Amino acid sequence: MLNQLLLNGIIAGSIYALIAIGFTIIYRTVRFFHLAHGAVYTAGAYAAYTLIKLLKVSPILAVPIAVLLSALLGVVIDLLVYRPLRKEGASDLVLLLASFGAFIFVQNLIQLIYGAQILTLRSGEVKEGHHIFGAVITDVQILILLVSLFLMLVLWLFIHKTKIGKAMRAVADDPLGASVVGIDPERIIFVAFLVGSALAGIAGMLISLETNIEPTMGFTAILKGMIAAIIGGIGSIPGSVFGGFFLGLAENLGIWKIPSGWKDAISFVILIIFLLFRPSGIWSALYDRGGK
Amino acid sequence: MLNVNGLTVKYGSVVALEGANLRIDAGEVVALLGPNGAGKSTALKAIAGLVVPASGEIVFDGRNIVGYKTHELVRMGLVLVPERRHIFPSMTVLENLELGAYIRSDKRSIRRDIERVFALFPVLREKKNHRAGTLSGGQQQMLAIGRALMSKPKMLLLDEPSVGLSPNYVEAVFEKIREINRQGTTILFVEQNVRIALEYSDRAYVFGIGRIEFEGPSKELLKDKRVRNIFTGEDFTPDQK
Repeated sequence: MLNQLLLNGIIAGSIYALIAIGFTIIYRTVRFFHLAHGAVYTAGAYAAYTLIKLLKVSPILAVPIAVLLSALLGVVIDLLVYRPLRKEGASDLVLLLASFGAFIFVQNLIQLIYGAQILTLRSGEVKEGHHIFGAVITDVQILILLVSLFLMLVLWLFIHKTKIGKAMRAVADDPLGASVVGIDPERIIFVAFLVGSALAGIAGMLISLETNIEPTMGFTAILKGMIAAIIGGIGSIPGSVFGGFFLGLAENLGIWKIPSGWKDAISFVILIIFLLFRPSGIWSALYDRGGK
Repeated sequence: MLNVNGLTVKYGSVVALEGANLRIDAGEVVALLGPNGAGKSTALKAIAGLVVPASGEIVFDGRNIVGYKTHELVRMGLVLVPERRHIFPSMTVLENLELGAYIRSDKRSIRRDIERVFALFPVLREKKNHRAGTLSGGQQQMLAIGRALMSKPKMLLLDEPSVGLSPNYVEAVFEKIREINRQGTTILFVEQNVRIALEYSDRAYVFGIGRIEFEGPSKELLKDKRVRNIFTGEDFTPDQK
């Protein structure tokens, strides 16, 4: 039982981590909570559904197209909603409210097109999973885990080894410092929305292999992603990874002793504890001692 | 190299600087002096593209640069070392210098220029794999200057380079600024410490409140009574040297 809960926690955690990383990459460049990130996650799932189920596109082609569409949706939200506000020098609160508006808009648009009912991307009969250490893991769960870990590795290489990735870290560290070395902040924001939204879209697709999809699925997702980002230490990418797995494990181990209906409550209790006692997150204590 | 004509900057309805005229020739070291709130930092920020002037023109290398963004000016060879340094604290010293060369792609000459910065500031070589945030204030100032040099500027703008530094570091930093100038970079800096500023510059502009009062060669200003009248005491003690 314990091993199964640990495994479930790790799988849920990898999805939370993907959402949190995308959210954090964007947060680091624009410095406000991009709530519409949750709607991009939903859109990723619906894009895959549309391509695979409705248009009968082969998954090999459909997945990259859906990733691209999610990435573009994020960029479009930035260009149409945030960028004009940035130019006017809008406050973080205004941008936060705008992001909430964008979230509702995209969510309702999806509902308008596809209806409010539950849809499913899964097909074929349910296969029995593999037994390891007294726990059961399905092929889909193995896929979720491997894809998440692979993306985290690729992202780490991207921000540490490429020039544009280093520039993204520079903007996160000190926006003025970045301008005086010749980095165009708007270009970095564009890349951040592109990469972060692609990750959200992938997370949405991965979860739709495991559970049903519905237009409101992005709401819980962005809440969990934000909580993971805050637990890890807002603005830290390794912190978001850590926070995602921490949250997934805490929720799933929690329901060992607490009725499973309380799963979401567990994450909010954790959030409140962190906001009260450690608002800078865990990662800053473990790792960022030399930072600012 | 740089001509500023009738520069006026407003913050909201408050006039921070009115009708300032500046001329900096290639190869010069020029200081902007004045009490707090005189508008000297504002002038530098306007030149660096951080604030948009209400009126006036700023001509750099024959081109009016009003309206250009800070990152665009870097590509034209006009580079700011901002007040309080603004280095990248979570990144290593070496990464900071590499990012200084963001606008360049010639890897071999970037390597060579990093070596030149290390030769100028040996302490940065010792600390090259340390996170920049762990450096002392003086070391961070040297890193900020080194990082700015990595973009190969024609003209370097320094905003209050002595802020937050211990007194012996102040002299060291200005010695380096002189050396950078000897190697061919034109320099314009804003400085609170009047004695230091006049010792390490060729010419200086003295700001009153929101305007330039007068200008002249730094050697003459060191003896000028008007300078002493503006800066009462604490910073300005020419008789010490």
